[in-house]
Amino acid sequence: MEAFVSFLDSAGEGMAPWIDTGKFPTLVAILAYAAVMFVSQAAAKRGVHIPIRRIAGLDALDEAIGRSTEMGRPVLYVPGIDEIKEIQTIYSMMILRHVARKTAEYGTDLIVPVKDSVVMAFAEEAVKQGCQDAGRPDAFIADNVRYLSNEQFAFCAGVAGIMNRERPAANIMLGMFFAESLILAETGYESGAIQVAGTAKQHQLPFFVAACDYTIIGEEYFAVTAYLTREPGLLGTIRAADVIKGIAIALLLVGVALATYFADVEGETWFTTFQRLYG
Amino acid sequence: MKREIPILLTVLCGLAITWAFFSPYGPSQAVNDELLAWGTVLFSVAFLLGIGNLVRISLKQISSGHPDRYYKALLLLMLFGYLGVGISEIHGWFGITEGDNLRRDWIYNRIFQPLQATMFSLLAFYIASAAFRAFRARSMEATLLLVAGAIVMLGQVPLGDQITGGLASRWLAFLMSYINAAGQKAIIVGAALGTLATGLRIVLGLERSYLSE
Amino acid sequence: MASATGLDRRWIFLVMGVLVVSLYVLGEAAEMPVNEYVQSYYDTIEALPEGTIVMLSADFDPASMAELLPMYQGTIHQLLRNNIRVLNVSTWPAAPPYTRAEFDRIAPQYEKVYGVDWVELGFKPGDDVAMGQIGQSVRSAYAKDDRNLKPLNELPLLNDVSAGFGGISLLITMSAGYPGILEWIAQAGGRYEVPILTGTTAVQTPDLYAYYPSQLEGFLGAATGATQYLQLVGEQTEDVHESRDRNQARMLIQSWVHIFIVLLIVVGNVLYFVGKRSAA
Repeated sequence: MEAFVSFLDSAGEGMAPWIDTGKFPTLVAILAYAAVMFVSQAAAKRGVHIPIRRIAGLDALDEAIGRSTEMGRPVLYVPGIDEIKEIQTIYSMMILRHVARKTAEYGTDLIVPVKDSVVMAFAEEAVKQGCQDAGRPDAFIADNVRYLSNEQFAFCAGVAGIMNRERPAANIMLGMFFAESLILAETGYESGAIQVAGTAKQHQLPFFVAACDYTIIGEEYFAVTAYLTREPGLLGTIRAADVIKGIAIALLLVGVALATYFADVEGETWFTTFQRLYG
Repeated sequence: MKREIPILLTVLCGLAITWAFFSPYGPSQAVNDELLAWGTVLFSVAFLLGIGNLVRISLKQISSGHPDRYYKALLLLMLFGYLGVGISEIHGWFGITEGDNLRRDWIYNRIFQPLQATMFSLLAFYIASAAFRAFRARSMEATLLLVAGAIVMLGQVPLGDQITGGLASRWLAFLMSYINAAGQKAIIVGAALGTLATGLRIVLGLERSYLSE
Repeated sequence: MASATGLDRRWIFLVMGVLVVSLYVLGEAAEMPVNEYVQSYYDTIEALPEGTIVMLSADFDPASMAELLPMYQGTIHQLLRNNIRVLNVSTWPAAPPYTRAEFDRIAPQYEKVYGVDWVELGFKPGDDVAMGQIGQSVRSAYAKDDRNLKPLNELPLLNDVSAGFGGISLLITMSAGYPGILEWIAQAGGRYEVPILTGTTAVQTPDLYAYYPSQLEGFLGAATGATQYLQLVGEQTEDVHESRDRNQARMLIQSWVHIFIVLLIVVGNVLYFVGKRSAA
């Protein structure tokens, strides 16, 4: 192993090492994760049952769209304020396609305000695809995907304006949010809409929990498409994440035990060591 | 080929940038630099897409007599007006000294900055109304949430310590350093694993639902 | 506008508004205790040898200036006072005019020379991509400085800066959101193991406890952190006394607003349980 590492490190005069051995554990972890993901996906495709617990916010999506249809009011979908390179935004586009399919099936308008021009292009495509999935390509209205502004609070003011003027019956806010989250959620509450919000950005979650009817928290957000579509590949990905989390927890406990064991000072009991380290 | 080429590009670029993170080798860093530069150019050009969308929708609403047409007209006036002021100051048109940013800075400092600060200030009022409405002890979890919120609010300010005899800041430090940090780390790890999974699926070309069919 | 308890939320807004305005007019400054994170921020800068180079990143806009600008001012004072050289960058387009104004005001107090003691490189578009580029090579990321539009090789400070944060002992960022401290931790701390300090808004502060002390040497959290930090800097620097006093007065307003919100929570719960009992 040492010979292998030194081979990697050395590279001849004037040439950088082929690989930064300091990042080797990270590379191994990613490859291990990928391996677990492929195995889980293969198992799911073979028919192995992978259960997902009930997530109230996701069940409420259909309810929210149905409510909008009954009231004859549009659905507002806010895909967050981050750029397309943020994974949560890409994920939001996948969910938007599903929501667009539902709204096209029900014949309800779907308004999608966006903060970024590249996201606007993806959002248009997602809505278009969703309408086609529902067999209703005519349901796509280009003007309902609206680029408002690249400025955070200008975008927030624009969305608040849409909520107050167009009075959507359902607000779906899924993606990466920042300081504007409470303003959007409160404005939506005051307009009387049912609100489903979700983000993996933990410091905005309290505001959504306080102001929205349903909140999808943290990693539940990444289970949305798997939950809605029950596609084997996606279910396998969720299972892989759970397996890796189990391994991480086990390693954490082992690490804490070992660190505590080897941290004792002569004359200390195990209890006093524990108190000194963690008290 | 309409789907295969974008997927191939995604896979190649994704793998190249991922590999550059692990390899300080000159050529891999050069490829990474080039792709990052292309990304910067793409994002800049995409502004034009957004402006086009904004202008198209606004003009449509103005010409159709929409109730908000005056606001749309004001939006377009500010958009192109500010752009014009900035460009004329950069190039020294209309008798302006080249590089003199007085007018642009005036609009920014007198209009944009106060508006932005005002929107941010709304948060304080909305937090008060949200706290009054939503922090009810309906269940054990809701009770824990409101108690934690109260401790954090009191512990952050000197008056809170005076009222509680110094306990608020101690409880705050305990809450933030242990319970909050543990919870944050757990959510960060969970979200990171979800991000990694989705990212791997996109980079390896397994996830294609965001692409057009 | 009536809520479930029948109380129009505009009454809450009115009381809050009156409370803030009256305290703003009548309130006075008061000293507050300094927490461990602020002390660590201050001590980390104090421990830097004279002549070392620090990268100071202004990642904020007018919306968050109320919290972050005092921190930024205090940091510039502490750095220049200790003869630390400053390389100023920004990943938010709105920040450079404000940072320029601060350096214009503060640098002459310490007889600092532009190009030797500090350099302003300005805004670099591209968010965390830009941070990666800055980390890889400042000279590749920026062709010229932002103040005088001179090539970087004409600025003596840049002679001691090399690729991969070479020559830079510390990264300090005033962060209002994205891109900000979390991206700097990934791009700079993770890749190049640069020590990092930060000042952030109240919303981002809970995030930082998870990164302290392994990835963050210290941090200033919200207006509370700004006030505590200005108290420390103000022990040796008179110029921040006005800002310190203003922040201490602001902390009084914040204190009463927090107590008002806690009272609202208590009142809301009382009304809830009374309503539940009457319904039963």
